[in-house]
Amino acid sequence: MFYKHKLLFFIIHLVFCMFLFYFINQQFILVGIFSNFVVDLFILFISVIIVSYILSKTATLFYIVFAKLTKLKTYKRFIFWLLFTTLCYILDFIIFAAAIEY
Amino acid sequence: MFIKRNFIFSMLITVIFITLCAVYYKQQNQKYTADGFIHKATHYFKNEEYIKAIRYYRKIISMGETDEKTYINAATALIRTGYYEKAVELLQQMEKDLPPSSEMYYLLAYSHYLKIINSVNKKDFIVPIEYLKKSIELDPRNKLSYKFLGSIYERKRQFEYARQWYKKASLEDIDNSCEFYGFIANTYFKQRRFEEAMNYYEKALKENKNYISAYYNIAEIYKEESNFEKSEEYYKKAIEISPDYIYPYYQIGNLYFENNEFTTAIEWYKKALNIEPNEETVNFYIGIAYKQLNEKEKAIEYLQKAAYCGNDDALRELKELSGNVL
Repeated sequence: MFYKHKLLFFIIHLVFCMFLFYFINQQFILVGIFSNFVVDLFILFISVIIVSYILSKTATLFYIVFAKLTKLKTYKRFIFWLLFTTLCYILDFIIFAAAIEY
Repeated sequence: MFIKRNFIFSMLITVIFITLCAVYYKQQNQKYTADGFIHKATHYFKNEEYIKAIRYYRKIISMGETDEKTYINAATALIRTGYYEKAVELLQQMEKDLPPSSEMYYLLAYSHYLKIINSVNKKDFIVPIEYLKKSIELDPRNKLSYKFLGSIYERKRQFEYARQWYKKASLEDIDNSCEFYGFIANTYFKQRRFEEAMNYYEKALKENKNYISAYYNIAEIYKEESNFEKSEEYYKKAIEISPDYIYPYYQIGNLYFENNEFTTAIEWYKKALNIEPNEETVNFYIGIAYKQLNEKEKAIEYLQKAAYCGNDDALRELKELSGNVL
């Protein structure tokens, strides 16, 4: 997603993180881990990106091996980015679902 | 072409994602009711699980179910978990949302007070004092507000102001207002104005013969004046009212100890130990009394017990007595 508009994707993800931060704040503010907006938003933003990056990189490696074995043309950059953006959205949704659960 | 198609497709996925989140949020919220949250919050609050209770109180407030009890309980839970700043914020929000109440101002005063005494830069107590005055203005029968206000003035050593507020409270139709005579007396006691203190303790006892603190403090005054007989008389009166409290037995023992009547002192200390056998100070003094009576073995026995219970002075005494401490 947003293959040629990567910056736009990160901006959208940052906006999602702001909404997530609001809902997480409702639940966990007293634990003290979500008390500074800028720092905590940055942590949330980076955490989702790192996890998605690791998982999508791993999946891309498997894809490359599969493509080489089956002698298919590899679109590894596109596949990696597609996986990465999809996983970011999935993680955002999982965090959102947990944050609104009472 | 690919770029344009990719962008449109990406935007579509993003819009679908946002819609999915909104639908899911609405669906989840529909299964939640304010009554259900209130029930859970109250349950956690009563079981002293304050962090869990606060989660639900915040949710209730965000749902617009703003009644006084919810705010008060949420603020109380925040105070008990040490989040004084958050308690202040919540109560200030309550001040905006609801008509002011005496209890709200009391809790605001309490939160501010705790914030101040737990902070590095100790400030004056002007803010809690102002809130307590507002609390009393709204409810002149709010006993806690008078007590707290008086105690803040006592802490500042402004005993005259403390007395003014205690006297005002004693004139109001408050339950057990004779307690305030006791508080007035305590302020005189702290200033070592024993005659005035005595007058007020006796006033308190006229209204409530079972006001046990008055007996203790009168006994203390007589002890300060070296009138040990009278002091013992009042400690014994306190024992008649509450025979299962260690303090008066221990104090009578101290009276005899100071008069070098060690045998009688030991008798009274042992009565205290019948109530709390592991009281380190009492065990220590029994040990010292036996030491004075040259009963070394018994002295060591009780000093060892005191040492085991955490009394450092007992360790020193044992070292002196026997060398082999424990």
